[in-house]
Amino acid sequence: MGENTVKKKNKNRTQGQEIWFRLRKNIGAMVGLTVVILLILTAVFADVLFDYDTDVIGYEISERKQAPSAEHPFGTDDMGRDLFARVLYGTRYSLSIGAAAVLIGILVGVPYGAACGYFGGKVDLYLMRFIDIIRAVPGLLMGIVIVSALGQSTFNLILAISIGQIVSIANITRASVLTVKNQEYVESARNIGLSEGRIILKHIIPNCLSPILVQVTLGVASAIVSASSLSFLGLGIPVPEPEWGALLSAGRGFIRQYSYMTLFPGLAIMITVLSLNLLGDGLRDALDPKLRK
Amino acid sequence: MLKYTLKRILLLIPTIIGISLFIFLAMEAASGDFVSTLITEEMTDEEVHALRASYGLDKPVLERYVDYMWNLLHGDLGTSYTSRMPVMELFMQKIGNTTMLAVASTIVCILISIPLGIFAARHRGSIFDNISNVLGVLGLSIPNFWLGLMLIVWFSVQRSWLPPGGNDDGILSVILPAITVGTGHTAILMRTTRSAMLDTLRQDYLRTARAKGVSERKVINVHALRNAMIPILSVALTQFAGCFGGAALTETVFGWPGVGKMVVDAVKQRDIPLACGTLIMKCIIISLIGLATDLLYVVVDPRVKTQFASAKRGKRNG
Amino acid sequence: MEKTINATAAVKKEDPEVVLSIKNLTVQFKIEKEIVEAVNDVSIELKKGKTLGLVGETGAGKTTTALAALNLVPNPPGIIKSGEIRVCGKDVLHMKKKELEKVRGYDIAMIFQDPMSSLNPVFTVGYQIAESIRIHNPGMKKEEAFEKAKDMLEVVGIDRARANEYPHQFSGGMKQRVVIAIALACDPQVLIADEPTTALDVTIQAQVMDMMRDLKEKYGTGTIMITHDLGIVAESCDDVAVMYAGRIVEQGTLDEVFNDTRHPYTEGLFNSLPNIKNRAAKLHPIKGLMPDPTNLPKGCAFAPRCKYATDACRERQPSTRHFSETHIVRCTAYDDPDFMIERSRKS
Repeated sequence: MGENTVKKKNKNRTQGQEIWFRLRKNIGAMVGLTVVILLILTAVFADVLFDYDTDVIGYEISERKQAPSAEHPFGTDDMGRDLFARVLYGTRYSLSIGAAAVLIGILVGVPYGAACGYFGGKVDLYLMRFIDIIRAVPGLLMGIVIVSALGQSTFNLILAISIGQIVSIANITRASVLTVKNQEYVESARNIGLSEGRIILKHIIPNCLSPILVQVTLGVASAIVSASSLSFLGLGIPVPEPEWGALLSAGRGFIRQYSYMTLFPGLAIMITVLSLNLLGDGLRDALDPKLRK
Repeated sequence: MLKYTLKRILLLIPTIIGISLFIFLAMEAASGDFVSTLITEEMTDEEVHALRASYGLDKPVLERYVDYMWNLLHGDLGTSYTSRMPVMELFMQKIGNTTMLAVASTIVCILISIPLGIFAARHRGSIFDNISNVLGVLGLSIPNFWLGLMLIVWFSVQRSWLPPGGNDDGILSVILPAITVGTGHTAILMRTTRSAMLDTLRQDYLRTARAKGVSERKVINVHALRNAMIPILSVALTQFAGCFGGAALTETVFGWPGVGKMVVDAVKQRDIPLACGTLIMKCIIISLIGLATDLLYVVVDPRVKTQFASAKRGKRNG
Repeated sequence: MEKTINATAAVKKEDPEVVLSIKNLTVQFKIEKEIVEAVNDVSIELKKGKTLGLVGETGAGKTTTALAALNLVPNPPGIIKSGEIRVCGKDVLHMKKKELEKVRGYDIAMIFQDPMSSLNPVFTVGYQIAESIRIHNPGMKKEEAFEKAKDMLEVVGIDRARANEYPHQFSGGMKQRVVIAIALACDPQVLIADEPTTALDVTIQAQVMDMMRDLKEKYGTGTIMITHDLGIVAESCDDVAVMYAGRIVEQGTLDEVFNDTRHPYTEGLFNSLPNIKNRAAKLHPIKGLMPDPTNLPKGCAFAPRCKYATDACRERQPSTRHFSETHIVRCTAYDDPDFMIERSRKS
């Protein structure tokens, strides 16, 4: 009954404005968005804020293992490095590793999943069986094996965690292509003689974008956790780079007396992942209001 | 239904071939093999070669792989390089601990998430619903291993209420690992319960039940919950299965002697038979839980049962 | 929930023949700060064994009125603002939960529009019928209730052996029979049938209607038949109430409403029916749409679509006018003593 009135109010907005309008009403999503923007700014201007050689990796043994104070808000590590500088600088690593892994996920996963969903039949069966085999190996272990096989470097770390991203993006793309493919507007596009290529480009992909966009947002969050997990196990970015997982791994040895060393890097991961998750949830609701009801 | 069960089991074969091949090839590509960890400076080349031969590592990778698969076909998971013990025996030693952790965390998870999810759905939009939503996202966002470390700080280091690791203190030692594994699962299951209940709560058949005079308590706990249980059960069992595959980090943080930690250590030490055999066993367990989930559906959802029955009938007639 | 008691309504003496009486019922829905007047000042009386047809377009407030009779209006967003509803003399709006549960399904039962969704998919149909029987016969054994449920299945023309089957194993018409069996399981005094055949195939519709008529005669149940199909009304009802935008615009006996139509909206409903005697005749649908329920016009809600509407119609709410003891019409045009709608002029 309220539908008429809702439509009337919103008739002057484009779809983009409509989504933004709905997103803006979601407090969680706006908090998430704000924090994500702040984190990106921190990552971009990290070297303006701190000098890499002196603040981030340069050590001062005389100031080692200092509890948080005004001078060192997060304290210092066992080498006397300021953890505040290291954690903030680490934003650059975590965000770019997460983004890069998801980018690979999109580049491989979207065509892969789209092919499965669109062609169906045997293609789908074999491609998906392959995905099933990958999924049989727990994600963390897959990462460990790949980093062991290829050697320890930032690029290999990204590659290792992108596997999981490829799998989840391919799955979500396949599912949404399958749904859209059978819609009547695709059928009618075919009936008026559009080529398959045009149908995929004009009708199928635009209608699959929302779930992929949501998955991408949540994917960056999960990639950041995966990266820090591997670093935590000592298989990620080599020391002394200030990656959050590596900081946690270093701090773990001093957990009995100096637990602040593990507190702050972990908080940084949690805040980043939390805001990405809030944003992803908000996007999901804003893009598909039907799911809310 | 028997046919379905057999089909599921047969599907395991390509998976087992795939993951074992993956482990063998990846370990081959990795720098250094198991023997390189044993080499000392006084050893001569001949000695190193002899050592390598004693593990069969002088043979090409494909030959080793075929040998391994041949033995696997006879039910032999191989012998661990590091401990020189049969992989099966090592696995059986650790699987009990992993199962204990999986069961404990799943119980914690179900006891917390389902009541909260139902309550949130029934009071949708209330303060409680909003708080539990935020807590849900928070629970999803806490990195497991960090949560584990923080729990150790709070409950073992600062208060020494609970042991910081190992499994020597019986039920006490499983509490912190179970909370660590269970937090993320609880968040997910709570969200699943909430949305499944929201979905069920607006169904017409609840109105029919109310119109019959069914009390509100029974409308929720019998009519609605029975239907919402279907997706909830599916997610809970998937998570339970996941505990067998993905608790490696938690096991590492707490030094919990389970299979997750064992396989991570095996990969680090290039112990191919141990890594491969443990992974295969994990896959079989996860797949069996998946099968049990599917069969459980038949009990919970009468529509699935009819599907099986009609498929059978269709076969007979056709 | 807000409730105001209408003090004057309670004065009138109870008529034991009246099984359902609704007086001055007003129901509102609050949707995002806007108030929808779903039902406005509706009064209905149903006598034992009689059938009252409640007619109107989708969104006229028929279903809401019916749900209010069981105090089942979903809250939020629905609020029963005022009015009094008595089922077999019992005030259902001011009852404890426990008492209400005893009335629902026992004194008054309801058949819903869509049989596909009104049965719980995870319970057998036998269980769903027996559940009602057990609630209203505490102490009855499970097996006995289940036997009674099987009897009910037979009453609605379903093999009693199918009691152990699940809803998805039944066709739409069969499901509606099960819904009817649930409703009649405790032999209620009042039955509300909310468009019981709309969701069914035409051939099945006739079967279900025939069955309902037979059952009504057998059990003597007072029935409210909600429909937008005037054919069904002509076939099965003793009295008729026509609703428009939450108000009853015309009510009376079947004969009065069909053969002495007074309200322009009722006339419009008849004109939009195909004429079986003159198939070539053009249909005359009512022009325009129902007004936005959040923003009803100040005067008569039908005025914007009414060809007889005058300024007076647009200015104020029409008052009720009695053409006989039973025939009541809300139309301002009759302030003019010479006013007649076209339909009455012809006859």
